Amino acid sequence: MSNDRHTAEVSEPTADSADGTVDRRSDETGEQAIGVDTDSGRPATDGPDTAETILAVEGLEKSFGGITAVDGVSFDVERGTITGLIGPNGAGKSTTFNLVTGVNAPDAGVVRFDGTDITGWQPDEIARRGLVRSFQIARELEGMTVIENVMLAPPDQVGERFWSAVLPGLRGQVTQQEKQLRERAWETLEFFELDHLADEQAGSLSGGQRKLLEMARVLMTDPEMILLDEPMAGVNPTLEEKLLDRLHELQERGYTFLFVEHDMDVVMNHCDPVVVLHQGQVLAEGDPATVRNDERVLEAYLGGRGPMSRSQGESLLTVRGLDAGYGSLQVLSDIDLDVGTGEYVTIVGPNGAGKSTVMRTVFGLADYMDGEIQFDDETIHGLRPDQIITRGLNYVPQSDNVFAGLTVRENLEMGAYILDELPEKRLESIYDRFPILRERAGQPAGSLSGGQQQMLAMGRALMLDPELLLLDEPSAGLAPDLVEETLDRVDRINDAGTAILMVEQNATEALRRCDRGYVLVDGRNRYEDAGDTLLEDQQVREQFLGG
Amino acid sequence: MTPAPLERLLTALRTRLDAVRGLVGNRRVTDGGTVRSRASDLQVVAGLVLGLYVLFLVLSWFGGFQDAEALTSRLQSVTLLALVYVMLALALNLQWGYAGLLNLGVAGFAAVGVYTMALLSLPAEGLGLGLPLPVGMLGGFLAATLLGALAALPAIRLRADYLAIVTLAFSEIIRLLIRSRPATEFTIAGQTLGTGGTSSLDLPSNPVKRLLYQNPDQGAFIAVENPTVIGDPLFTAGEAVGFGPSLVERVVYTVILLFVALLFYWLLVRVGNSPFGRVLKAIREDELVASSLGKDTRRFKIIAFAVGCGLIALTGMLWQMRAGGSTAPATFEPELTFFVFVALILGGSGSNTGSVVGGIVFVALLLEAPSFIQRIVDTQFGVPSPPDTLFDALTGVDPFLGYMFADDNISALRFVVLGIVLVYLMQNRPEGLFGGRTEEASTVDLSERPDSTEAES
Amino acid sequence: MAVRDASEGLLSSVRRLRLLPVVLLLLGLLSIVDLGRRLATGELPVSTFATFLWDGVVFGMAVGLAGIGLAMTYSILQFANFAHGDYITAGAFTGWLAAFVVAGIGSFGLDALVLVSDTVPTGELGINVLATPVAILVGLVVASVTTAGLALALDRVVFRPMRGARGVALLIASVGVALALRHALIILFTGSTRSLTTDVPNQEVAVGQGGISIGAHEVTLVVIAALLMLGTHLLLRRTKLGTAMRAMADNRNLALVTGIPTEQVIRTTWLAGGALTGVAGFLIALEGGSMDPTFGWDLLLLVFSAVILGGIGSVYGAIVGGIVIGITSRLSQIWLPSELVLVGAFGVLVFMLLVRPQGLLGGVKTV
Repeated sequence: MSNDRHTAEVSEPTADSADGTVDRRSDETGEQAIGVDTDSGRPATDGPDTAETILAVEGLEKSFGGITAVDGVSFDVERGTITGLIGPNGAGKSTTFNLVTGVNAPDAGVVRFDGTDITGWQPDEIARRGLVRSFQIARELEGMTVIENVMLAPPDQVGERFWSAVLPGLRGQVTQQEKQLRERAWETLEFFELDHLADEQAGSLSGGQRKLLEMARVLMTDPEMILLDEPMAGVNPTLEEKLLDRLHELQERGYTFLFVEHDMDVVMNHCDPVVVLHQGQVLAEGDPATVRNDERVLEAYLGGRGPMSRSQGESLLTVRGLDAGYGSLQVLSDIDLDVGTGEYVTIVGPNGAGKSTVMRTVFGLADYMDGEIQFDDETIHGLRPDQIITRGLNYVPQSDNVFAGLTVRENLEMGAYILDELPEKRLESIYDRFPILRERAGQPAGSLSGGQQQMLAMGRALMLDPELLLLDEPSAGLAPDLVEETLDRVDRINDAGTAILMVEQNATEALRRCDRGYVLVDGRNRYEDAGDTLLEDQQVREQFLGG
Repeated sequence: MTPAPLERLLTALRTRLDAVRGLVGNRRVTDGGTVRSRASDLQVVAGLVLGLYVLFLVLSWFGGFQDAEALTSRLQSVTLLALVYVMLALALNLQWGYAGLLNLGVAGFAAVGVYTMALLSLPAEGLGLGLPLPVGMLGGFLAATLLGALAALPAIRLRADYLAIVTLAFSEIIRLLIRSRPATEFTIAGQTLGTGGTSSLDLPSNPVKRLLYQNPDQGAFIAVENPTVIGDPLFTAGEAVGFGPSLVERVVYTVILLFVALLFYWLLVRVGNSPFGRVLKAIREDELVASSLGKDTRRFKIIAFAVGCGLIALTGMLWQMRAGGSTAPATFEPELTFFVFVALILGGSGSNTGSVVGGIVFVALLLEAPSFIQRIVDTQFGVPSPPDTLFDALTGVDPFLGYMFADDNISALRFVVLGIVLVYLMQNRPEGLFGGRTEEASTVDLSERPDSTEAES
Repeated sequence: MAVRDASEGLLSSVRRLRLLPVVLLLLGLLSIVDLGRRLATGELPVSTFATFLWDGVVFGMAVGLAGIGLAMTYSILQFANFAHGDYITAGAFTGWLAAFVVAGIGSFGLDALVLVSDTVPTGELGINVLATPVAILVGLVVASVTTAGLALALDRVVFRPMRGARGVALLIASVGVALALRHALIILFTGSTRSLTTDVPNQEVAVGQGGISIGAHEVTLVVIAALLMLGTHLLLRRTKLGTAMRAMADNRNLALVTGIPTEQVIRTTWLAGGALTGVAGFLIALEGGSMDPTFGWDLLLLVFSAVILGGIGSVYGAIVGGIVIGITSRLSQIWLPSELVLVGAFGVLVFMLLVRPQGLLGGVKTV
């Protein structure tokens, strides 16, 4: 069915993928895939490009409320490969996933799967066509048992037709198929070591087990190609090995994978080729070695470079042995962290390391499990956000951080809600710091640009003149020239005496500016040092791009 | 509104159910799996029904129904209503419990069924087309199914609360149309049709009458003179135990309804315990997951909604046709819908056995018991005549009781209790009496592990 | 598959071709042309038309006022409160209880007055806005205070323990509240329909050949409703709490992070929404001259229609929606038999939810 392909035109690399990208095809054509695949339909006369493109993404664009998440992404996935899709936070990986799988419709661009234009199809139509996805945060069907979850997946079940399910004559057929599926389901569960939980409600599984269930379910759909969204997060190393073995096994059988993963070791050792996204565009494409040695990729992960340093005062925030997470899912273990008066501290680390969760736990938004959080020598865990802000701590969330329907001034007023009277002086000083806000005071915040919204969010958090400001990825989603500007603004807030604890994707830039930095990996502290020392540390670099 | 006594009542009920379950052996002991568990489900229901019958016999006895005919008559009417609610709850469970579709138009779809049937099957010289009753019933079923599908087509994409408002509005539109003057009586192609407007509409004589009488359409006194071969022995037997013909007729009708209810249960268990039901459950839990796995979720939702509406309509017809049946638009006010919801949530939405238990418990303890209690108090102690106003009622115990036990107030009190029960359930036990249990959605017992795989791995 | 494609295709083409505005426009134009014809030919006297219009404005203001509270709780607590109609009834009964007592104390038995009993001869009691303004005023105040208190108390007992629950769970719980509240009122006040007021002098305004009569109670309703709508606007735009309400409707999580005490805002929402609802109930009964314990419930779907028409969750939408529903439902009597007017209004509701769920005003969700 997929013989009239024009792989060469489709796979024309985008302008910004230079040298390292093209030569992958000469040595890495995915031999094993071709060997096993149903190679009947593919003419060998397709030119030098012998590999067959199964998924072609061309010029995808999508923006949400003025913020461009995906900005002209084009790449191809060849049949039988495990293609890695990586990039720093906010690079547009998840959005790309959602556009390909039909969860969101793209503003522009085309998605072709196996020769069919599937742009704008519904998720179920795409799945039935053979392109199935897993979710980054496992979405188990809580109220159903584990085995029901797995049995749901196989396509075109006879018993999904109402009459077959009900009528006596037809139901025998259904039972026949159910028995076969049950056997497969048990096998799959055994493989994922979930068989002892088969009769449990899926809602009672642990985080890692949910991931496994999700994988099991996807495999049961008999897909041609699987999109895996961070499948290894929260899976223990033994199982991770097994999963990867299974992936390769499936690859040999002719399955194709597109793989979003933050664990660089996994990506570098198991994916080929690797596509790197940055700021909604394809930054580089090629085999792991090429990508890893691409200076621009390192820069994308670590940001620009150059050292700088400042001094430290008395202890303001003290975190000791903190365990935290969401519900039953533990994200952080044994975190230690200090911020001194007036100090500028950043937390860096790979995606999914738990950086934002640290902030959310300090601010009473994630579930505290164990340990100690002290601010100004007072224990603050268990307090609500509106109690915490009265103690001199404030927080700027990563996204959705302004009230879009309120005016700029009203947004700022809300920042001082707990005060009986609006601190006019404070408002004036914030207007002085961000003059554009004074200009736009009467406009709804939703009409501001992304950079201005970030400014407003900071302004709102400064209304109570906090001693410590928590900033969650202040430069996320901003254009490159605005990143510098935003971080400069953070410097000035710090210069004015406010201590800063910041999570930032642009690690180099953040480490260069801060007094001290923490590197968080897999929910634990790995390194702590002065920012510029960390910056030079080879091990830290490896945490971002794999060893 | 202290929930403590209610909590105790529910706990007691649960313990009893558990005890019954304990007697017949736990679910899925060693072998036999699903078959075994279903058997025990039936036993739980049977135990519950038996218990309630004993309770009602006692209540009726003290309520002054002391001869066999009066006792049976009371039990019959409670049973019939319970069966109706069981069937409605089962149908609603398919929509809300399985597929998560909040249908607040139960009453409206029931009305569509009943009035379509009436239009088709009432005598041609009356307000109908004079078609045979089975055709009328099929027509009523199909009309509600089609209308359900039609309503579902676009509405299915809506958020649950929007769907709730749309279906409620839909239900009210139907009721208002039925009672409107243009619909009361109209003529198409020389044929006079009509809904009877606000007043009650006599329905075609039900199939049981045809079974028992040779001339069912004649007045009761004349019809009794000419029983059929089936009717004759039944009437004779009835006479022997002192049952009049009308009671015999109603008992037979109730027994037939019982079989229909069993058919409903069988059907819905089959729907639920199948790959079809599995997809519905998945839609309820997380629609995006279901569609990401390739399920055309809208098809499943539309079928579930339409079939549910058809079954609701069928139940409505069978209910309204009960011996000497007539119907009126007032029957189909939104309260009916809310009643069914209380029944379903009480039993445990998502569970077919729960729906059955919910329907029975709802009718027995919430809908019917108050009037029984009223009667008992009346016959045993003699309810004081109700005082004129609430203030007179507050002057002492007797006037207060008299006020509360007045017909209007006991009915209103019942609603108050219903409302409180609903709030209590949503707050404390949203899974209901029988919720939270698993009725595995498969035609086979999924826990049965194929032997071969053990060796393979 | 085919069925679904057809439906999807139909709906999306309706949306894509902007068929809805076109159809509405055509319908509107047709009605206007027909209206013009009827007026010109004298088939419809101008005075009748003016009467319909005025009735529509009065009714629309009442529905709009009653809708504000519903829109508030919808946007801030994110659930459709099915008990709202019975809050309207509760406001009317407590308010009229007070009005009866103030007007009739000394002349009639207190218990009959307190029960707003139908045994009280309203003709002799003589309540109307011109003869007994104090009774009306006290009634208004009591209606707003008790309904606000009732809304707050029910939130404490029913909805607060369920904070964070899904909107559907809250919706079903509110159905329970509706059942319990309505029938508690029946037990307290009995289910009878009672008349409340005596006739007030009407102001005849000449229109065309005839004239329309504008009643003092209608004027009272319109003026008070307009003032309260203005007041709501000022509350939302000019006060800190009002701004916080809008902030919470806008982004609940951010409101929490910003340090807005969300519980306090929710309490304010119930208080303000409840008070407005109570006043609406009292005024609707005043204008109609009678009431029974189910009139609020009977109004509920109409209030929902108004709120949805304007874009559910928007207070301004509720006001606009109410007036549109009021006027169109009265004017539709030109074409429809009066008993089908309600059907038309519900039809509009269903149609709007299916085709344009964000409402006429485009679903700006600012309370």
